[in-house]
Amino acid sequence: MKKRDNEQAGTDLSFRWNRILENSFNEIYVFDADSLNFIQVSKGALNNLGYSMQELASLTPTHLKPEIDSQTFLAFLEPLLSGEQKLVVFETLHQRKDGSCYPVEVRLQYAPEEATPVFIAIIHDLTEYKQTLNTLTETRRMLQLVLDSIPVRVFWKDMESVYLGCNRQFAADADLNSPEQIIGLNDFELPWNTQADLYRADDKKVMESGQPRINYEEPQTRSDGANLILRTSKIPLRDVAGKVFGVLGCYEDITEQKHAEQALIKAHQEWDQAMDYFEDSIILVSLDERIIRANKTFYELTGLTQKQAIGQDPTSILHPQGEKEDCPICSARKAHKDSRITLEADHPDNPSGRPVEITIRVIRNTDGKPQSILIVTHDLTRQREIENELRRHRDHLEEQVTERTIELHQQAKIIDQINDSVVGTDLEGKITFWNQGAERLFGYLSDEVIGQSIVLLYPAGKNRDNHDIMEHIRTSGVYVMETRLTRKTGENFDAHISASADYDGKHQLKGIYTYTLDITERKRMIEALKRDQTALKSANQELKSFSYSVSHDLRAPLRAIDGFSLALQEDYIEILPGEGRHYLQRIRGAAQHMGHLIDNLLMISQVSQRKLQHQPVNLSLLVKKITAQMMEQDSSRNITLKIQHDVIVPGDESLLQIALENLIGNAWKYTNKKTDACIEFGMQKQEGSPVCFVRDNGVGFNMQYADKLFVAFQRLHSPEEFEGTGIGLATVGRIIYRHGGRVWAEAEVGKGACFYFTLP
Amino acid sequence: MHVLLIEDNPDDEALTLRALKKHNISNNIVVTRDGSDALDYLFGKGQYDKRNTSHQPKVILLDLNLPRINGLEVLKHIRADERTRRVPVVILTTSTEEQDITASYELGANSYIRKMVDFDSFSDAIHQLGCYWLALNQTARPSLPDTPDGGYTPESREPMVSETS
Repeated sequence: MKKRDNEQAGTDLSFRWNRILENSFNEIYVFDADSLNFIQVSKGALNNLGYSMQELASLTPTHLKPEIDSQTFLAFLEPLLSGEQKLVVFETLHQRKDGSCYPVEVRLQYAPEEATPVFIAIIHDLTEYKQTLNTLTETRRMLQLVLDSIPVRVFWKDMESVYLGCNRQFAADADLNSPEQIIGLNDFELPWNTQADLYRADDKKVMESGQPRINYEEPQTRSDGANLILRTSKIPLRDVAGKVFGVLGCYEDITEQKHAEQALIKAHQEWDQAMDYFEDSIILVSLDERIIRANKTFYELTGLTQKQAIGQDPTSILHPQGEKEDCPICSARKAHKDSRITLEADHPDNPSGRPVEITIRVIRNTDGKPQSILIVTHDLTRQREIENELRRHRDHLEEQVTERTIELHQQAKIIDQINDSVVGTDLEGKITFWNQGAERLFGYLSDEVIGQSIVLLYPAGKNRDNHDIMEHIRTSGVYVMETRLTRKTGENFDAHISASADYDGKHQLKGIYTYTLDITERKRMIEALKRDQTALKSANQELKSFSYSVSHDLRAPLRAIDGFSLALQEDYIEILPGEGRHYLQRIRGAAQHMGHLIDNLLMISQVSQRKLQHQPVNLSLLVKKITAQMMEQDSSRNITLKIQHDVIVPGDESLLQIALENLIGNAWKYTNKKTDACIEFGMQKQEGSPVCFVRDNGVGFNMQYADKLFVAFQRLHSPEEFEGTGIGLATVGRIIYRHGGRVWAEAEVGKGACFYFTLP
Repeated sequence: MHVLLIEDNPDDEALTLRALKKHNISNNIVVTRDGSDALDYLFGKGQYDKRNTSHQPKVILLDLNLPRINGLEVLKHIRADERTRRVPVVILTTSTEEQDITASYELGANSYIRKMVDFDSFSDAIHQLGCYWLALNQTARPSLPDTPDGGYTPESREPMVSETS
């Protein structure tokens, strides 16, 4: 009973278990170990398969598994039957009654302890799991695709900045063949090792702060040496608990973009600079009336800074007192109309105070739509100045033309009225112009000769070919000659002709003007002059030979007189009475005096004719030489000499010596009665010019006769008093005059004389 | 040993001879009255064709202003001929023309005496120059080098001017 009770109790429990299994939504199958036919199947399995229990009772597990044949299935059961394995698990498909399949995990178990041994299979429907798995795989694939396709480089690192992964582009940047190769590397092992410290510092900062760092620029060096600019973002990676376990980074290569930006900035700067060179004020105004850009001249003219001007409404700058309705600049600008406006300095809308030209140009985009307005203001002051200058020049030129025209008229009038003959002819030699002078000279009236050939004026039979003159005129422009011409009366006369070319406005020879002078009188005078000159020449020649013969022939008889008187004196002195001896003495004295006269005459003629040899002459030295000679010849004299040193003048040395010899000779002579004679030579300034002088303290002379001093043969003393020929001072005068100088004297009777001379 | 005086003016001739005589240079003075005559004498032509031209004067006193052939022309001939080119020639003249003096020296004159009106001075000059050249000629002649171009050396050309003015 107990057993029964136990059995009863066991049966109760078994029922409940069966009921639980049968009602389970899990798929539980129990099938006979021998026949493999299903014995019990849970509700969940029946629902999923679509079979009823009755239908299943005739089926085995292989019926439900299209992928598995009975052989294979038996092989699964083998280890369970042998007790080798307690559980066999495998995956396959179950086919529903409607033929559809679903993936399953099969867990097989053997229960031999039952009255009839059974296999229990717990089937887990994998449909949902497989679907989730598929979705996950797809998502991962997509993510990888995205990661590998986007141009952005993505990488992630652990807390030690060791790489955990990256995308394909990043791997390529790092010279790696695949992203997997990055794992375990750090930045020191990658091409940009020079930036490793920088990168790792950034990583650390992000990870420690837990704050992302977004869009910042940093450099990167590649293995080919290229230096790039990156725009990088880094965010901390957190686990489920929110703890930071790494860093995720991404970057873009913005090198080109950056370069383009810089180039653009440079271009802008260059353009701005170029604009600044313009003397015109240039501004660019947006369509909503704001100044976008302006050049230097604009700032200089308005006195505004860039800060003040950019964004400002141009109207407020142009009209600080409020806008005017009729301002032509503002209305053209607002109308978006290309135009050019000139405003004078005093125009009410022109604040510049100068004449200006304002050009307004609408800048359009490629579609022709207005984008902005360019306003260029050009200062016209200089242009106005140039215009004024030009106007002045033109006025001046006109004035000159007028003056010149008047002048020409006057000249024409003068030419007509002048005394001399002016005749114009054309290229054929026909007379075209005939002035009053020509009327007077030739005797023809203008009307008689105009149109006639010029041959009319030449003597018959001597018709000069006009052609000759023309040829000369063509080559040299002028022709001058002397010829014989004929008056209306038939009388011939000597004429001097000068012909010059007459050009038309295009500088083409159109004829000649001939200026004719009657030179009959001039010729006669020249002839007379020539005759006089010849006479003068022969007279001079005669004078020269006269001098020569004087020196030879006049002296010879004198020498004979003197010589034979001496012979008488020497040979017959005993038989001559005293008076006879005296007479002989007188004869010799007279002969010798005449010899001196002749010498002096010759000298004065030489002085007059000699050619001057100019050179600096030391007069002091000459004076010393002369006085030394005189001292030697006349040692009895006691004379004080005062000679200034180095008086140097330009002149002919030998002539100046003759002059000084005469002056000093005179001083010597006229002081011979003095016991304390003194002769002085020197130079002093008179009225700023140097004047030489020879002074003595001799007998002097009366100034009344001063004008006779330098005349030949004029003597102020008798031969008894002082010997002399009267030629000396005349010679001095000649010499000084020939040098272009002056000579004069100052004296007082008994007190001496002073002779002055200048030498320019 | 003789002196040749070439002088056309009889007064001057008489006075010169007197001056020479007074200073004991009176032996063997030959006088010719013009240039042509003088050249005939020197080169044994005309009336002198019998003369032995190997004997030439020790000194020639030559007046410049001569009829027919003037003094400078005579001088030129004297200097051009081998027989006479070494004979000292003293020019006697009244001329003071610079060009005459220069021309004389250029043609080979040895001295130049200006004939002054004052006879004393002239006489002195004759004496001095005559003696000088006679003496020089006696002693110096054998040793005079036989120069190919002219015959008288720079030493013999050394001018001796006695001008009594």
